[in-house]
Amino acid sequence: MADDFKIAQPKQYQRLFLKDEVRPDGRAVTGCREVKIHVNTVSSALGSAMVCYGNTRVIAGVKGRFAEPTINNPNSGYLDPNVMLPMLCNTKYRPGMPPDAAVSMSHKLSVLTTDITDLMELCIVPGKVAWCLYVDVVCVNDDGNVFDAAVLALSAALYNTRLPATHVNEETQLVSVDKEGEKTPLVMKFLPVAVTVSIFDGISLPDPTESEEDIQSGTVTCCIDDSSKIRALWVAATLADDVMSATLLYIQKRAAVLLSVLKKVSDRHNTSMSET
Amino acid sequence: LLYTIKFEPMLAPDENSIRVRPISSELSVLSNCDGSARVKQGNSSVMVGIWGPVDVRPAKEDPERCVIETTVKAATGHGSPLDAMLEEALKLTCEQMVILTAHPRTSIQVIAHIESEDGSVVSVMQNALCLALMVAGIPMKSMFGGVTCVELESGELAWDPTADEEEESIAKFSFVYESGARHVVHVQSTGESTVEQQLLILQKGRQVVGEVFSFYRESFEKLLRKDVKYQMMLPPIIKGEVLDSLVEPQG
Repeated sequence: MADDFKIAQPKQYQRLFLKDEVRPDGRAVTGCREVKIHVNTVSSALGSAMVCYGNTRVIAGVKGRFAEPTINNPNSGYLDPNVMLPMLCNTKYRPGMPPDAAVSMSHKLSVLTTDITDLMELCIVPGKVAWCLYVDVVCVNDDGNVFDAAVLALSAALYNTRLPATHVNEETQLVSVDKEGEKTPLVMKFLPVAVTVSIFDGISLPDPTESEEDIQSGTVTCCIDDSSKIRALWVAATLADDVMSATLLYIQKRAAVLLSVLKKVSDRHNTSMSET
Repeated sequence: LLYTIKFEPMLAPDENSIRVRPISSELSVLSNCDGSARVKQGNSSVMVGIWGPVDVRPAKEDPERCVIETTVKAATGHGSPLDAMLEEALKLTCEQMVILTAHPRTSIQVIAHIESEDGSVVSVMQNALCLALMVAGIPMKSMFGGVTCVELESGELAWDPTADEEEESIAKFSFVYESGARHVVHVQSTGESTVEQQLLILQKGRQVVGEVFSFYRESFEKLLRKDVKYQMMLPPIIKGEVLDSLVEPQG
């Protein structure tokens, strides 16, 4: 019967829980779901990570390909993030064109990662060959807040990316991967994480689930890096200044927690860790 | 019906002076639309056309509210992910500002055409959207206006930046404010900044958006001056004196 009520009157359902200062999944109003990070899960990738925010699960993998640098930037490589929301992650996604949410998230990730690494470090032979790192972020289960999981997975994957040594054949000028050579870790200028807060009835609910996303009246997404600077801010909500500053301060604190977990996991390779 | 107005914002020049480019508007540009507006800020020009509320396919309709559909066409080239982001920005602003529950099971179609790009295009588009919605008579909670600010390498802030200033910038901030309590309704900030900086620029932006709102007022007063029905509604005493003083530029 509770399920029928939830389907028929989703907003009233949410309000009943909020009146008792809990959320439908049992957490506190300002609580976030348990976050699990596993790194180096995809062995064929240069770097990878799987992130779980409760039931939302996202996998990011970094694949390296050789590419020719552009004429304008002959000493730079490429970093190309892409978010996929396949049909398997949620029944609302239909076959055909990628959903608007995926296009929007991909664009946001590429804006976020414009200066994340020195692209000149990815150059192998100036003007001829450079690394092109494709970061594929795939959502395998969408239970709300895919973007936060996607950013954390992308950061974890890049942080754990090790570029193989390359060998240039003197005669043919062809570049190949030197399997015996030592791998160099990808140097990141900053490590971003995203925290999303949904606004419902004027109440801020961080880390919304899918059903909470359906009824929200607004959303605040902020990406904070490891020096507590804002890297990006997207707000689609009518907010007074005091609510805005309180939300940003909350996000800063939450981001610091997520980053400490990310760093702890990555410093011990091939292990996993969870934190609430 | 074409009405063109040029407005030079008068902001007292001092060390904190905020320079914005001259802004002009043309209302009811497109005769087939329910509402349309073209806004130019400097060399950036965007035209927005609105049809609504109109019929919507049963698959897309919502029994409780109006569905907003937006399309953005750039000046040149085929569709790009940037257009998708601009479409999302317009849709999210509409969802905050338009009273969607007033027209359930319908749709409002918004088409924005970027005629020329010279910086602050997101804000120019939001301003054109607001004027077009007002001309179309779509019920809104209040007016809204957009401002863009960039932080240059020197640490200086440039408001209503040109495309060159945006190229050189290290951070870009776009805010849309509603005209009642001037709360922020849409924010798009990229580049490195601190929490304090965001909030400071947000507060400063309110001064700039005040100029945008007084420009809207002027645009509409000029539109209504030529409207015979509106003129007939006014009592004869007011027509001659007070109305003229209302449209005189202040300050």
